[in-house]
Amino acid sequence: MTLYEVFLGWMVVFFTLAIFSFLYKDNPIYKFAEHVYLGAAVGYGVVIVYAQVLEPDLVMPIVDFLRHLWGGPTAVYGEQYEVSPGWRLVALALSIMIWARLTKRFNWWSRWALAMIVGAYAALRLVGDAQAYLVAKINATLLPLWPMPGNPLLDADGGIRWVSVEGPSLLTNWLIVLGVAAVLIHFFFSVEHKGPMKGASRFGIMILMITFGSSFGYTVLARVSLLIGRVVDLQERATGDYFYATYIIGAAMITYFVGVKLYERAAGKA
Amino acid sequence: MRKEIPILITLFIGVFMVLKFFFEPVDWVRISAEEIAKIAQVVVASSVVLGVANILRINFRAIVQRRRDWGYKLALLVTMFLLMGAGFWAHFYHHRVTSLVVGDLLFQDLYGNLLSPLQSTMFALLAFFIASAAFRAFRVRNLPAALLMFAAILIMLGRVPLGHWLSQALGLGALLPNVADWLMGVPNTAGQRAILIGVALGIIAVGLRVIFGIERPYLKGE
Repeated sequence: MTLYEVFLGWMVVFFTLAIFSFLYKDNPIYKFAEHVYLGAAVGYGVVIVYAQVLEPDLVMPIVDFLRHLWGGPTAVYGEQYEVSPGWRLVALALSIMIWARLTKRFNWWSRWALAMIVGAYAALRLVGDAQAYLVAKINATLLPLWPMPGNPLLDADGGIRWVSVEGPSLLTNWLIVLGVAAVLIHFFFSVEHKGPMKGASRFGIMILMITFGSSFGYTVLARVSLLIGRVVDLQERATGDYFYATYIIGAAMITYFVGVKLYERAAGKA
Repeated sequence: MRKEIPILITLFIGVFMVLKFFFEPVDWVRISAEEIAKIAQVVVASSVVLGVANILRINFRAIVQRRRDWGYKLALLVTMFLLMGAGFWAHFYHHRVTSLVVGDLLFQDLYGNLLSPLQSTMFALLAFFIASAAFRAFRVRNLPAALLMFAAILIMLGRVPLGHWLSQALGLGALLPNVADWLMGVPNTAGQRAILIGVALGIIAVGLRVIFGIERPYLKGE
């Protein structure tokens, strides 16, 4: 283990414990870690955005275009690009218009660029979500509700599959079809929820409650799994290889909090 | 002029991008639509400059004027420039930003030992708050509340080794894990599906309103 690796280990422990210190109360160590997190996230994001989007899709096409314009190799056309890379100058112009938001005089320029983004993404989401969610989900809900030869509600020996944990069954299909319909009825406010509509809406609420409960349970498990990961990280760095980083930093933080508490108590009495 | 042109741009781009799905086999339509999508992606990515400029403007001023908490803002800027410096060095000098070897790229080391632990600890912290919120919120007042609570408990128990063990110990076989799987696969699927259908309908409605200029979120402040 090199000194550099030990230093990285201490860094992991410090920042992990610093964030967990918020469980005690909002404190300067947590605030420091919080700001470092924000700075690191922004710095990382900038690099990734440049390396994965701006350079390959803006800088390189424009450089290629200019190189071609000034008599450089023409092979770039047709091989890498389906249209002239010069069109990316439009992207550059729109980017500059977005940056004009930083000025007072020209900040209205950014609306042109925003209008283009909004138009493109509204259309992409509109058609994409209609395909992925609306059509696909409705299609998936059109399930057989009556056991017939050839449909999956009958076993190979002709018996009815009443209920199953995995795969289709009579109860599963009925519950999914009625459940989807009931939840949609619950959110349909154009008709007053009276009579059969009230019953369907009430059933929809039950299905929604189970959905929210399941999602909640699943989220808790995901968070606990992350917590276990952090504890394992701390445990790994509590060994002699890392010069007992977890114990030393943990003890230092506890000492700090106790010291602050004692100081505040003393100052309060004075 | 300042209002009409953006509305026309949205209308033209939006209608063209929707029509693209119907005229996909026509080469020039497909290629133009792909280029427009790429340009939009680049413009969105380049707006990261706006974010960085704002962070610099707000924090730099606070540091120079020694305002409250200026030290934290200094830490923010130093970390941001450290990551940016290490990242651009890795990108331009080493021509890559990822590495599997510790000590090979400072950028990767900072990601793995600074950003990644901070990020997962932040999310792990939520485990405590979710647990405390659940403790306060889960009260069996009526049938829907009971369903919510029992669904959550059954999912949590059924998906962990403790649930398997408990199920076995009570002589129920794999009942708890099976119930958890069934809850996720059937009622949860029905609920999620209906919600997603509703979301898709909402997105279609809002998308059409935006494309046809009925809704103009980007013109706010005019």
